[in-house]
Amino acid sequence: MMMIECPICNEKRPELEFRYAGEAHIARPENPSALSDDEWAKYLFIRNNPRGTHFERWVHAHGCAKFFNAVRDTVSDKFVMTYKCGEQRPSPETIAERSS
Amino acid sequence: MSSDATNSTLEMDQGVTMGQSLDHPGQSFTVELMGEKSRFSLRLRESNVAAFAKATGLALPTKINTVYRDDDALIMCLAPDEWLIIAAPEVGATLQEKCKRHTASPFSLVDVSHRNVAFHIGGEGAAQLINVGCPLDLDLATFPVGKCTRTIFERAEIVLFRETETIFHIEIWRSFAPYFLSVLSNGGQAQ
Repeated sequence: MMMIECPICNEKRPELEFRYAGEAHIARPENPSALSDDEWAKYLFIRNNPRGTHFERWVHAHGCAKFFNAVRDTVSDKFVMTYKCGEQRPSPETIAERSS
Repeated sequence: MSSDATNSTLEMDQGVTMGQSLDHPGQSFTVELMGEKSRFSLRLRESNVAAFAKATGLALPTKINTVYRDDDALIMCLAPDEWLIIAAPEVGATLQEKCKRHTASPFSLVDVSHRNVAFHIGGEGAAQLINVGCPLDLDLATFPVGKCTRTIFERAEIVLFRETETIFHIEIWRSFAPYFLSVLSNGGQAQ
């Protein structure tokens, strides 16, 4: 079973306890009413869907019930690292270091 | 297996027949349904915990997945801003009064007494039995006495707390109890 490290519990837990919650670091527009329909649709629906390193949100649903961010490789399904919401996106150097 | 008044309550509520399926002679575990308890779910911002503890006199554990126990209550820290408080039924009202003493910041105290039922799983084979449905490593080194956590048992969410080396306290939603027992029952036979 895949183990995911929850940065709030500071523990590796079985994936059964977690839920995926979409791409991370997507800021809600400050003033939605100023946006065109296309821009709003882009914010709502358009995602990167990269092959390789992906920044994504997860929720420790059957644990501390908190959201956090993770860096996962979409090819190998390997979790490179996890970090708390509000923290900066890890640098490519950090990710390369953790991946090796 | 104990059979007291609460067992029959659960039987009536949920159609659970306690006392037969889990009673395997020679097995090194016991499953016991706990009596009625007062339970509260407390939500409070992390920054207000110290002030809340001071005003109410409740010793809230601040480290996640740890508990505070005294004669009155068992307080489990399930998340940085969430606690499950379990106490004897007669202490419930007192607890609510105590919490009302804190007026400085908002908090939420919800009575969830009848949402859960609690089981004690004890004996040398207790950890092995729980591992039938729960993939956590219950070795004493990784799950020491006094550790609690919300986790999952097959498809049902539970709160697991290690009271002593060989006794686990499990909180589970009342409606999931028959399912929980049936899984335990199958696991117990396989052991």
